[in-house]
Amino acid sequence: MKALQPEEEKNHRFLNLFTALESSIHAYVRRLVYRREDASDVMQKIAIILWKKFDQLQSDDNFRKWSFGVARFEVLAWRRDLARERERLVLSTETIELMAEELDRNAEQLDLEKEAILQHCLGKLKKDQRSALQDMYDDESNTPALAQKFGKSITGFYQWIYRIRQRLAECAKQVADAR
Amino acid sequence: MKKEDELIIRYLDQNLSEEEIQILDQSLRENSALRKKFYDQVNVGTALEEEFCSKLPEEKVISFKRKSSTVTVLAFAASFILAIGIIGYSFFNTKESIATLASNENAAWESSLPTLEGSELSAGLMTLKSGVATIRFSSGAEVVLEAPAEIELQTAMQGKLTRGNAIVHVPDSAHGFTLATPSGYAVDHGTAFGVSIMEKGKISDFKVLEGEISLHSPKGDSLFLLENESATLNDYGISKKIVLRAEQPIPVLEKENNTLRIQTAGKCQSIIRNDEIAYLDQDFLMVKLDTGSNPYERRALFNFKEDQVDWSKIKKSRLRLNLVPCGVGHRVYLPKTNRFKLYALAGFTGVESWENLKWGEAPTTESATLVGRFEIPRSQERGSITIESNELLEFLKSNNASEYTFILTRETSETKGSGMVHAFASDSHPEASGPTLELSF
Repeated sequence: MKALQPEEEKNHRFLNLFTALESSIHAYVRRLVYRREDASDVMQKIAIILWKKFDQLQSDDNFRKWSFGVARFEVLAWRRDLARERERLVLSTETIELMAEELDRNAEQLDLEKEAILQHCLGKLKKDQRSALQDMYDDESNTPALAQKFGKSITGFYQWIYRIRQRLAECAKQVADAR
Repeated sequence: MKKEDELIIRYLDQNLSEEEIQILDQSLRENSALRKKFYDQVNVGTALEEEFCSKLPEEKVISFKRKSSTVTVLAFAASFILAIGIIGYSFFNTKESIATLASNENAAWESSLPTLEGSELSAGLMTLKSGVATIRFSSGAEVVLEAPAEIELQTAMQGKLTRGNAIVHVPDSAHGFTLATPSGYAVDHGTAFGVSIMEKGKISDFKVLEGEISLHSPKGDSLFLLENESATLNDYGISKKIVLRAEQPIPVLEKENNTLRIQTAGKCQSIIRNDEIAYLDQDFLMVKLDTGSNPYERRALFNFKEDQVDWSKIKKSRLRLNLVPCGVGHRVYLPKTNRFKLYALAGFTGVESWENLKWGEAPTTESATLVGRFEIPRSQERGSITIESNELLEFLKSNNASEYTFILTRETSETKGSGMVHAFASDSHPEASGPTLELSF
């Protein structure tokens, strides 16, 4: 193998570390940032900071802890910017910090459960249940119209969606625990 | 289903009121079991997203705006890897400059390229709304534009004039410089020629002032033009040459006679009812009417002063503003049509310092005169707004003052909280010109 220049070597190291964790960091951010498009933006900011400050990292073993720390910081920055814009329609800093801490600790478990949902639990859904969940991710749709489509009141619709999702989470825990 | 459970699912659907968010917030902090349910719900969400949301190629572009250049960074999984994989890749890849804005004469521009005299320009589109300006390509070719005109800078040796009039001067270093038009292009073989685009781009008139050019139509025919000769490019090709007799004066670009353009010289500011300056930005003149007791209501104020003219002799007056996106608030929470009101005050209004102007210190609309109104559809992101009303003209003519302050407000509110804030470029906006008052005598 050809000897790598120091610059190339650094690139390879970073990429190896980053790509291994990228999906996990993304999921972490997504659990805290409730708007999909914002989560993407936050993710990109994190990626850039991690790259720019990579030289300051003392040991590759610390990469996970360090990158989750940067992620947490960026999530809080997002919350601050959103609070300015949306004027109090966000959760408080205390709550987000508390949740960030707990989500960090449980990240691996949650990632396992997420995989379980995708690979196993989603397949168990009934056709209308899956359809309702999917429609909610359709940018063109709105909830009152969906509620009507499925023949429910708005409150009833929300209850229904909540329960379907709850059942997916329960299924995921059973599958993840069984490993 | 418990009340808090419902709050969680509605929070994820972005459908909670202020009070409800506060209840959810407190409950989450106090109740760890509720937080666990929350985590489960969001985790299911991440899975559903992966399942249902189309996986687009992950090449998102981030723009970091700096004062006089746009910096583009590519960063996300795959493309991120690609970017770093290129050895020696410069992380901040500034676009190559192919021209400079040599001079602005009362010019009002609309462009994402910088518009101050002396700015370096990269490839892009520039629209000259008023005045005259000269762009010098780095090959040495110079294009003098007269508004209204639109030019696309393509390379150091090529530009495209899509609208308006221009005179092109080409020194030896840039022989071969090409000016394209919607109906064909001209290659310079000499020193100077004039172009005029008419009939919305369907007809391009060329006239050689000095030297020679060749015209090329999309059909493939071409024609060589010598000094003082002119021809027209249109859909049918190239029209016959018209040889001018020496006595005929070479038509010069028609400038508007006696038009004075005044800018605000930094005296432009937004104010917000709750005086929280963090919600304002120096580059923008922000306007908003919110709901309820309006703590976030914003207005824009700007001032024009000119001692050297006799305001009573004005024949025409026009105020130009550039609408620009400022990224605050949601477009969908606005009504389809947004109405704005422009008020004016004559003379010194008591505002000593235009920096950090407080709501209570600023002149009010009650003490001002309504001089104009306009509407902007909520879908419009940017554009040039021109106010030319009789009320404005009369106000400027008959008030015997050399200084005028304007207040811009939005008459229409929003349908839901955090609706979009409208913004107009201030004097310090990096891309668009600030408010300009044009007076014709």
